Amino acid sequence: MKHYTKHSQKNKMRVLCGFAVFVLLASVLLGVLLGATQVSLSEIVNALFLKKTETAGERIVLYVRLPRVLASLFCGAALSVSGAVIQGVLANRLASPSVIGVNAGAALAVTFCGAFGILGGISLSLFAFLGAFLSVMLINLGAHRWGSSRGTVILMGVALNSLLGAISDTVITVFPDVAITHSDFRIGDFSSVTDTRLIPAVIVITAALLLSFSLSASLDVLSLGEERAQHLGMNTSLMRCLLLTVAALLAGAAVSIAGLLSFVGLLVPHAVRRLSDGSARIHLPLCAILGGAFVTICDTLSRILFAPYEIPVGVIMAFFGAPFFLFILIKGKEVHDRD
Amino acid sequence: MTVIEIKHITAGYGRKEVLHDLSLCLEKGHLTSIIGANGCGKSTLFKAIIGTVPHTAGEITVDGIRIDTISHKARARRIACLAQINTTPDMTVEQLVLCGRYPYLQYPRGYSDRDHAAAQEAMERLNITALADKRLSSLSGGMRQNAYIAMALAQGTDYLLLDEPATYLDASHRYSVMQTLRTLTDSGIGIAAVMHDLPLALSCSDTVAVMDGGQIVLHDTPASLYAADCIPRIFGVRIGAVDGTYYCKLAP
Repeated sequence: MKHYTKHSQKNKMRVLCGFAVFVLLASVLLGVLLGATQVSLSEIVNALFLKKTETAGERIVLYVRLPRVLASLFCGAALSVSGAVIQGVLANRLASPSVIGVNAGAALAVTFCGAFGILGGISLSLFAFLGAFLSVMLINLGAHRWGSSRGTVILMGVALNSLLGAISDTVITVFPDVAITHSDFRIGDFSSVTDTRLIPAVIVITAALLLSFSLSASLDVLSLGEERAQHLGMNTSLMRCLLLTVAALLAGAAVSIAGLLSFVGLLVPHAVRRLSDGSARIHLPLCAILGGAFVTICDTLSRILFAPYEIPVGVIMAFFGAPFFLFILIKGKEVHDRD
Repeated sequence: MTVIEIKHITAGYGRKEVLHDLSLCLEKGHLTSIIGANGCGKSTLFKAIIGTVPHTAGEITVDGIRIDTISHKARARRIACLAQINTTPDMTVEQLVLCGRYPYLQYPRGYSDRDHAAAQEAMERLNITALADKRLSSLSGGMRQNAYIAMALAQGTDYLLLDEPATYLDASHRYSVMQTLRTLTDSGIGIAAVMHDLPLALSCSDTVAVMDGGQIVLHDTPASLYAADCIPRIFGVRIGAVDGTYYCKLAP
């Protein structure tokens, strides 16, 4: 019975991982295949594997859709894992980069960069990380130093979002040139993805994802609570700081590419938690795979639903995310009450 | 024989001193209940032993080694401490028990086969192997407590410190948990448990340490404490005894 249960659990996880990889590959294929302009499968193969750029379709695939799909994959993976890490560290299921103001911190930094003429490169990613890092550390300080409850942490996030948004608006008022790209940035959009933004962010996201996976056992122990983690020999202050730095790196890099993509950091970790066994070793990679797939599918929908017009991907994600957030509030209430 | 020896320690939080000149010996194979009024420093005593609250005077040794000279992980490989349970993490029983192997984890390696075997053995000792894949949130309070004890057991230490292991449990689960603790002490593990249920503490323990005002004022066998009639004096509760089982008497 024991071995049967163990094997069935392992098989379930294998099936789940296989399904996640299939969804990811399907989303990539659809992302490259579908759009306002029709391209054939042969053009996709020529562009991706033979680097041919003879036809318009091949050029669209190589220079427009492929960077865009890569951007959506990495942003989705980064924000989902960032959300999962923040939820684990703060022991708060309602926390996510967009809810507690981490994205807004990165956005403010990117707005400042725009005002001072920094529109891409590693410096943009670094400033976005710095903005996200300062926000998440402020929330962490509130949650642990001042002993804030789970509800208070969310309210602190709401206040921080408002404050950072107001500062961003002030910067835009003073530097009107920034406003041109700011509305897309605020909703979240991949239409203006460039190599100078994408490549540094992809490097940062890849490194931060690997680091987060390697810390999955520590994340599990931290989710037992501060005191129990200390009793298991963990230096909790150091580990919390390290994990939140990783979360800030992920959120900051994602925001530097696509702007404020809301809900993905909340929606994907919750959905995956319902499917997986709850351990961070499985949870984090699944969040990365399914988060990337989710954002890629949303971005594809944003391109084809009203083609040739395009609506920002943030709008599509809000259509999925907002009802799901309400669902979590209602469904999660009983869990939080029980805790 | 003595595993943990606490000699004249003073400890507290910042300027607030909670433990004053406290001394206590905890032995292998013994169940020691620590009883005392709320706020007398029982939980702080455990935190001082495990090193999360530093002591400013005196010394604490485990197997002759001073606790403040070894790392957090090395301490966790010698003493397992289970704080009061008031939250339920979103994980399965097996994952929780595996967390007990964290002190042995070397970054960036994951849990080894040895860690998995230790977790499996701890679950078998607590008879919860069938619950391995169950989420903690789906278990009863007693079963959840057993899962936490299995996690502490998976740490592979000679000593367990349990902060109120029977609190919030109904009578049957309370006695079941105490029975489990007795089985563990019979196998040679030393257990110290903070208890609020005086009759239960007196009935199930080898020795009882009574705390008052940040000090151990008495440490003796339940029979000796009962004979000395000190419980009514300290707690204002009258205790009766029938064949080594203790009960509270209502005031006349």
